Amino acid sequence: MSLKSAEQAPHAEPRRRWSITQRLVVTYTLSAVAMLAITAIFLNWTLHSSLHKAEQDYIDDRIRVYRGIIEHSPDFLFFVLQDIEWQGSFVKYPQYYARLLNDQCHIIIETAHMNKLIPIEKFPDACVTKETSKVRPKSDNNVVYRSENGRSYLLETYWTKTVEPSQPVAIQIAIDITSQENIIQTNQRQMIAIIMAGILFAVLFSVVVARRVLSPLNELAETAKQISMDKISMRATDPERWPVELQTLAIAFNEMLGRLENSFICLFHSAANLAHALRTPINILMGEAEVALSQERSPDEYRKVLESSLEEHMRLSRLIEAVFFLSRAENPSAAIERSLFNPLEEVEKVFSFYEALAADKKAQLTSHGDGLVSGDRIFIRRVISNLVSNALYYSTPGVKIDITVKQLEDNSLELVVSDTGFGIDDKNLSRIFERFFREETSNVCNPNGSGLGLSIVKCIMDLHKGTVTIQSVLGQGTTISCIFPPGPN
Amino acid sequence: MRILIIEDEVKAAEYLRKGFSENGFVSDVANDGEDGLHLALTGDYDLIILDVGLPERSGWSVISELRRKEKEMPVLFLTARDAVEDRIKGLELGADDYLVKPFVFSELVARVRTILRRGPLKQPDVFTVGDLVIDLVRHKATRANLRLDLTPKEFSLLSLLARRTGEVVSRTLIAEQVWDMNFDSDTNVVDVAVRRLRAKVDDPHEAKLIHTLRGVGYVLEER
Repeated sequence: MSLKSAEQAPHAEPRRRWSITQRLVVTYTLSAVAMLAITAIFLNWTLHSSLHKAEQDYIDDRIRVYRGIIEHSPDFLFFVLQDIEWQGSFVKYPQYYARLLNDQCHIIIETAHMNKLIPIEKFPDACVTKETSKVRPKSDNNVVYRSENGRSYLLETYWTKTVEPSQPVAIQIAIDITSQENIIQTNQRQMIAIIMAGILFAVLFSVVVARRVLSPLNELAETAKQISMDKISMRATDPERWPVELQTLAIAFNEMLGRLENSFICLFHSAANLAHALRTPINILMGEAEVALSQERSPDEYRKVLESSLEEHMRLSRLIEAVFFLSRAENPSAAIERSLFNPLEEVEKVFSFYEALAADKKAQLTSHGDGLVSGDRIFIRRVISNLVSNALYYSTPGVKIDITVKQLEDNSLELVVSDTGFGIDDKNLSRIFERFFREETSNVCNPNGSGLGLSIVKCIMDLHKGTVTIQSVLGQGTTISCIFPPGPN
Repeated sequence: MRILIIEDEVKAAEYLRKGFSENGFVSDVANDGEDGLHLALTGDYDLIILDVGLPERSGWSVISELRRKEKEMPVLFLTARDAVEDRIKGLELGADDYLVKPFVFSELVARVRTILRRGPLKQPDVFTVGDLVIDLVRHKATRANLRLDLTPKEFSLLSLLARRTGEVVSRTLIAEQVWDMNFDSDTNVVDVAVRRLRAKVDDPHEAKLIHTLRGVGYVLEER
């Protein structure tokens, strides 16, 4: 499954990816623009509607005045004429134009030049029948008309009746709204300018912010670039001063480097230790052969040299096997052959193998408990064998070795090997699973030991995704606990 | 018994030839895959010892070619590669056994003997070595008509040595056959076990039957 997805990933690659800075800038700018635009539209709408209301009030006011005159005074023409003349003759741009029409849609009276600027038919409900006019004395829609002199007018028609004789008359009022229109236009231009400035500001600001926020990442990348085998102890400096989100990254990064450094140190150590482990038998082989050849000897003496060399070769061969085992088991794809069994079966087998050695040492081997483990039988046998072997070698005669097997609550299995042997010095406990690590005195107890026994135990436990822990008191004994998690099923 | 050794390391091939001739076999050596295949096809060999990594033609290819030409003589692979897949591949191609370098020579001889002995050969139920009598059916051993008091593992160790009377049995093989310890185990434990067996079998008697080949293994025989 994981392999498949890994193969698919390159196909998704060609899609161009945005950098974080780009994303931040775009998001930030878009939201700033959206906010500004909403504000601008709202303000513009408010301005527009309040101006419009003022215009409407004014036009209604004019119509009310005209109606008052027309509906109550038989000499209405006189008053209207006076009003019209005031506006039409002395003001260059009259605030309003007025016109009266009879029911034949003929002009009775109008402000000077009105017909030229605002023709009758531009008004809403300009010429309607008497019937309609009775039903709808006031038109619903005002019309904004742009006249040929470049000014804008709000137009409205109102039908009413004169007194004595009662005749239908249409009042057409056009008020000049050019200045209001200008105010709105200016306002719109200002708003657009503000939005533009906002975009510019948002882009600049977000670029600066994104750069600043992401600068620790560059620093991290710089550190990562500089790290090499000889500079493995380099770390990202003071991650505490970084933003919280990046702090975790930096700390994880530093921790990863720490683990890598440890692995490298282990690798160097174990390479050095391997060389050391090889040096001893090879030194013996070379020396023995050289001394043997330096003078004539009896066949018996030659035989002894050859026998001794064979022993050293066997030691080398075992060492190679162990190193091979570890390197193969460390391969991440290494698999184990799982089966479900009672580990006590293997404990008995191992005990019977060590029976003779134990009898020699007057050691007591005991086992307790019950349980089932999911794991590789041969590997687990090897774990038990290595642990029992250690307990037998690093102890005085009469040592008590006990193996207890216990099923834990989560169905994992715990295997505890405890002995009453020499114990391990506290300062060495942390290195005890290291390859080729041996305490200074251990060569006396087990001259054939390779220093890989516990490394193999650790490795097998890792293969089973289990854990191994060690407790030891110098002079009292050692307890090693191996916990095997339940199998995949 | 004629054996063909196909091995490119001259020194290794030489010691194998020498060792086999001292064990009563006649052997020829080929140092590369082509020569080896040619000899195997033309000569009349009872068994072939075949290295995997060979110049000219690999060991895998040699055995496939042999089996294709219906040459059915047994083949024993020797190789430095010990991954399980390699073993399986060797056996699938028709090899009869597989030994990983480095190995103990006596082990190789024992395996060769086993392969050549294969077939309807009846194992006796009672072995006699000097005045030592081992009865596999009744699970008892006597020496000079006195019953030996052996633990079950000691008995199976003795019967392993008895079944291979006169042959050197390596400590690895003993650990594997008697205790099922089929990984590199502490061979010192085998030495201790043999010493304890010896205390029961040989110590009370003048004539010793269990002999040590230092660094190699043990042999049960009357000398």
